[in-house]
Amino acid sequence: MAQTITAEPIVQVENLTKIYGSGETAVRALDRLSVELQTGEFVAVMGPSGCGKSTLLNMLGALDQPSEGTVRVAGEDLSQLKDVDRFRARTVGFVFQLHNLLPTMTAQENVEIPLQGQINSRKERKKRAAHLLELVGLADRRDHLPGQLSGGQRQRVAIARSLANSPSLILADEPSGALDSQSSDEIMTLLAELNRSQGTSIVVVTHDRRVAQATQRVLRMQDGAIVSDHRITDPLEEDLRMFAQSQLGQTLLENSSTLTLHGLIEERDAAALRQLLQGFDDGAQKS
Amino acid sequence: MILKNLTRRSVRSGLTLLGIAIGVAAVVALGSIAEGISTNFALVVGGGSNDLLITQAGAMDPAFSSIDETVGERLLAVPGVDRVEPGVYTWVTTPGLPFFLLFGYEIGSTAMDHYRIVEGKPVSGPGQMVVGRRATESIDISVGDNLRIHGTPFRVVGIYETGQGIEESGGVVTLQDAQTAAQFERKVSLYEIGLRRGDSAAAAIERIESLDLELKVSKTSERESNQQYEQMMQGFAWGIAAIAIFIGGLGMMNSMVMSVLERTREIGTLRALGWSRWRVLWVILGESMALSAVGGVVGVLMGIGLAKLAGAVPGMGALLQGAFTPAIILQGLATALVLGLVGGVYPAWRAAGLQPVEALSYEGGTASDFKAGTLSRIGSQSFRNLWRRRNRTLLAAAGIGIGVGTLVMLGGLTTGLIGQMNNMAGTGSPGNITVMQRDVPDLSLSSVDESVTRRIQGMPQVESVSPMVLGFVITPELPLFFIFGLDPNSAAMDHYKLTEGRRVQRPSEIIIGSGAADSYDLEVGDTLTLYNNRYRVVGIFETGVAWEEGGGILALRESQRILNRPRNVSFLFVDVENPAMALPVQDAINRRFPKVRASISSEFAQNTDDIASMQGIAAAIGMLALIVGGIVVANTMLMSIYERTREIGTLRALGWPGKRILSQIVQESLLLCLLSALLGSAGAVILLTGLSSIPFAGGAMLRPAWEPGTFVISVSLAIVLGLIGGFYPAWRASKLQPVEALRYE
Repeated sequence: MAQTITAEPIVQVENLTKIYGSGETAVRALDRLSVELQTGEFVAVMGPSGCGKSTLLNMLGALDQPSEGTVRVAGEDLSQLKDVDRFRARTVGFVFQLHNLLPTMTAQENVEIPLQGQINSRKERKKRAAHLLELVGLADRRDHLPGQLSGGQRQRVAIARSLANSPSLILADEPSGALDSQSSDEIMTLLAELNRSQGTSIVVVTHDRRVAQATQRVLRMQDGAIVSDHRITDPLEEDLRMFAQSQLGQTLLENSSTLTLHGLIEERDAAALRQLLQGFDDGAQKS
Repeated sequence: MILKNLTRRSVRSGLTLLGIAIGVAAVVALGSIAEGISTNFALVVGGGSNDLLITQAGAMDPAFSSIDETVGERLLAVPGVDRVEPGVYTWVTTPGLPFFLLFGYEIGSTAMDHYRIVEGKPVSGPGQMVVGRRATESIDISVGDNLRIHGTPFRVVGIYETGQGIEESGGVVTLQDAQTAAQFERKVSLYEIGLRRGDSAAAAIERIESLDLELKVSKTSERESNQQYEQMMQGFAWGIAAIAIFIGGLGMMNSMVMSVLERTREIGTLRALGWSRWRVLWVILGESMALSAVGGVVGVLMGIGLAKLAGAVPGMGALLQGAFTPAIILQGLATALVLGLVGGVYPAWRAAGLQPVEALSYEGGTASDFKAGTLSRIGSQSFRNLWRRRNRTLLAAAGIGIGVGTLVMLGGLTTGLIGQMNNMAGTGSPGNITVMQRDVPDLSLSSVDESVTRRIQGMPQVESVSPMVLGFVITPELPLFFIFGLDPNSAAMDHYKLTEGRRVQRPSEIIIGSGAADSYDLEVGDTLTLYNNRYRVVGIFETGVAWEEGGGILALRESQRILNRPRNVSFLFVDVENPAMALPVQDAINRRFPKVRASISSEFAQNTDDIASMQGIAAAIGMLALIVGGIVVANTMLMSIYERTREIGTLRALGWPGKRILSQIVQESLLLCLLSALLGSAGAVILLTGLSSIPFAGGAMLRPAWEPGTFVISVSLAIVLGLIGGFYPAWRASKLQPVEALRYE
């Protein structure tokens, strides 16, 4: 899909390949993947498990080194980083699936973790952490330990923590994976709001279509490569897309005779639906 | 399956193994040494091919026994007695052998036949000596050489073997020569008695005892006369081994509990798949037993090696020669298995008791298992991380605490003993010098010729010289009573502050310490029997030194008479006119009298071999305990980082440098060690204070003294351990790859 570049992209990935292991047992987790994400974009990465989406996220956060290719985040080539720790603390912010809060630290102290070593004044750190907790709506839970918070609240602490050093990019790995649907919606709304109000670029890895719907751009991955890339402009269109990719949608598109045989739908209606869905079946077009 | 689970955490299993092995090695090595000591001593006494052994009643062993020669004739007159053979046992010191046991027998006696000549010929006259096989190895002497004993040369005519370390570390001379060396005039140490064939030993014993000569009669086949010593040595060895076992057990339990905790979810799965409670229990217990069995075997081998090493030390080696009986090796292995059982039962029981549903939902080290509480929110992160696993922290703290506690206790005891000995009879003035025989293995064996007193008196700067005789009595009525022989008018008498009565004026009078007065319920005017002599108590003294207060003071001559030490004394206390001149006077005495050692009184004890070897042993035990403690620390910290792997990954992903993680873990380890060291020190002080306040014989010797040095050393050692034990886990943690760590479950 053609893009008009308005500002410097926050992420530039070129020919990224990651191979785990060697010889017979080598696994190609990423295969010559290239992608550009614009500053301020809210992007979802979807795909079946094992498709390489978490590996991509780890690469973006400088947690792992590529076998081949280059990754640039906020203009910096990650293979040339002088201080990886500083990059992890300041440029990116991580939100994990299982929140990974430190159980011995209060909410406030957890948010302070990335600030240690970046802001020297203890008072400043405290102030900043308090402000962030307020931002995610947990001002009154500052001194609670993770064990005393609900799943959704813990994840909000984790988001506040990822924001600690005002990173340019937030990387969230299944942020709502362990949450019920209501908490999940709250978390995605929070991320969307942060994206809008702070202009922070966000990459969310998920396998939940509902979550992906809250974003602006969806990358679909399979076998270590991106197989589709589209923007979400109209919620109705997105619904149609979801329908096209569902079991029923795929049956309609590829083998509608099964449905007509069972007397579930008239052939005439099936043809009309097929026509409507064809424009949204991007997965089928590419593969 | 058991093996796989153990190899999964190979470093931790290895550490646990080492902990058990050290515990078992201590049991085996010390057990065999104690066994060796008791059999060596027992056979010295029970040697000979004679039937009965007669020693002085109340003497701790034959070397302390003394019987009048006239007794021999009376013994021969007892019906059933075929022959009576006198023997003299005395400890002497020769260069290279601090403990050289000199035996004297009549030429051609059955008693002498016990020493089987393997080279040269037997003793056939005065000035001749046969030496034991071990002694020839330690001091490099062979047939034809000369050996000086207290300045008198003896010609070595043969070498003997008896199979006993102590006996083979000594030499045999004629009875008269031994009497001269021991300064036994018309006295012997013991009599060996051969009975007429067919006569009952019991009847003979009864007849001899009815003579009422303050004699102790035992059958040579029964090694009972050394029971006290044997029990003491065995108790000592077991005490040390118990510490090692205890610490080993703690480490083991720690390791097993952790292994169960971290596999909670796996156990839940096994239970959900239909494994019974018992099956889970057996797997966990099996792991623990497998670990301890291997640890046991390694420990037994280490223990045997250690004991062999100790036995190879020249001189002292003879005393430390281990005896390896199958019983001792079994004991070591049994210890390991008991450790395995005890250490494994609780975790296994805990694992088996887990509800499958609970176990499956266990998150292992994440938020849900750190519950709120006041203590969980205060203090540093290090403290909170330790608090989080309170039980484990407690187990680890106990390990190090016991190590530190042992060190502190031994330090306190040694310091206490040094203090007490330094205080002994010295007038306490700064210019006081204590003189004793050079190169004696034991204070009670010191012997200085009386003539030295007058000769020192004549030296410049010397104000006064007070000779003193030290001895002790052990009888059922007086479990440990020290006898001090002092001239009532000597300067050293000032050390004994009379609280009641007056000083000794006649040989039949005694003044006793306040401790003895309390223990034996004596008052001024009462009588006391020592070595068959009756003394009237004329006064009660105090010195502030517990063991002195547990004894009594006789007139110098009287003490020499009953202790069979004519014309010689144990110590001389020299007062110097100008305290500043004490050091030159000390040197002058040492130069002029090569046979004695003069020390400034305040440094006296430090210079004795007794204290040096005691400090050596204390340091060795303390280090052993601390090493095991260190293993427990490393083990605990390793477990702690395993279970926190994902947290460490998170911190790395959030931009914490590896160095910061390293310092955090080392800090935790340090805090753990520091807390345990403080607890251990406090425990040691409380325990020893409690122990020394219990009145029992010898309890006075257990009076501890605390000096800052002891604590500083113990706590610093704990800190060093914390650093060493914490560094490897910390280094591993800091080297964790964030991606792998985050994926860790």
